[in-house]
Amino acid sequence: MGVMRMGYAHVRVTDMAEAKDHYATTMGLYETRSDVSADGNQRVFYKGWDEWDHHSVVLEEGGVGVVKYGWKVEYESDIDDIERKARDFGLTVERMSAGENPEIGDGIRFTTPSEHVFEVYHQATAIGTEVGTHNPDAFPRHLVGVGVPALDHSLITCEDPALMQSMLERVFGFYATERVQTSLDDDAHLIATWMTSNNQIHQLACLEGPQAKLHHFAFRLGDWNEVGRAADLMAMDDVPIDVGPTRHGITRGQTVYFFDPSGSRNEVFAGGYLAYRDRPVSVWTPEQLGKGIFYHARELNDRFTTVLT
Amino acid sequence: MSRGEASVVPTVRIEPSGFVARLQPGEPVLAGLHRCGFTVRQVGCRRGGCGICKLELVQGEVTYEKAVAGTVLTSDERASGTCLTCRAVPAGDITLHIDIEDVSAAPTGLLKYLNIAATGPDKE
Repeated sequence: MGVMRMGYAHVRVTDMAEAKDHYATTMGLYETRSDVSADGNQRVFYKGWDEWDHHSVVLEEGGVGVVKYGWKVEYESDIDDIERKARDFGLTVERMSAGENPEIGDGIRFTTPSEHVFEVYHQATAIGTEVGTHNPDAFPRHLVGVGVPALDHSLITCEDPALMQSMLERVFGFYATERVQTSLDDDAHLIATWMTSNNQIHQLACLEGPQAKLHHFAFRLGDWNEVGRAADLMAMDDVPIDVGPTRHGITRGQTVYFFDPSGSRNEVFAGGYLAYRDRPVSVWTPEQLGKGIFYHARELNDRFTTVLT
Repeated sequence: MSRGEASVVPTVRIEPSGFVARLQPGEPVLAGLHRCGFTVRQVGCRRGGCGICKLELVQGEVTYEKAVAGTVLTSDERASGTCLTCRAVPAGDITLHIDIEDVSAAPTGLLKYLNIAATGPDKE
């Protein structure tokens, strides 16, 4: 069946102590490992309470921006399948061995046309959710801060969204749920695309902009109330809020955009309708782009396209 | 200079508007301008990651008490007087260049109370 989800986002932070305070104390992620990379950089690994694999967020000290993304596939054989499709697409693929990423199995690594590093793997050390699987409760009683359950998706920028869309379709078997394009004409220019492999409204979105950049990565929340409460906690902890709480026209998700202590944009994201492969793609054109991005204010700020790490 | 030594109250002068803001000891430039009621157009992540708030330092010196990535503020930029305002802490009085249309004061209504640490454009 191929890619099931974005398994991990690995990002750089300028100051690990401040980053840990943000991701553990404000966001409520669970630290599962702390080590030093082969390059000598301090790293910390986290999972959300409702995630069962060893980690979904990796912080690495030194610089800013995204190091790489991990994509978890359903079957070991999916790795070979994706490797073949990636080579057919013209990408250079290398094999990675179990342990190159702590607690992650064998897999492949390649650089996308957007110059982001993707890793594809099947095996990850199972830790289990914080509520377990036997007669599980609805949530853990002693969540910290926002208490995000899981990593949800990411938005990256690239010079050619159409090329990334094509790669994600042909190599990962993703499909687009929504698009921004210059017009409804067949030869319209693609400005952005929201893509998924399953019923999740998006796992990765690609927006026209500089290569190799991170726009944001997002954590899942349950509903509007949780999004509002998350924003309250950001006020208490002096987290700079970018936009929100509001709704996206695109995906219909409810959201707060905010910045981590290194200036990388995070999001908490709730809702979003169920995606299906046979659902007609929603298309947004520039005259309504403000409403597409921020449904209530209907105004796109400078920062949305200029503030990247 | 460490935070302990920065006991002076640095002033930030903005050219060519002539706005002046008085910062608190150890306060980053951008946070101080906001606290004094100024609105600067180019504001990004406010945490040193995106580089959107870089401005030209015309006079004076700034220090960085928190780590700043070399990709965000290069050593050449530091040497040539570019200031990452969300992270830069004045080491004394400084002067910044901000184009007239990119900065405004907030002197009316309730906002005038924010502005007590600042003075408006020079009258003479």
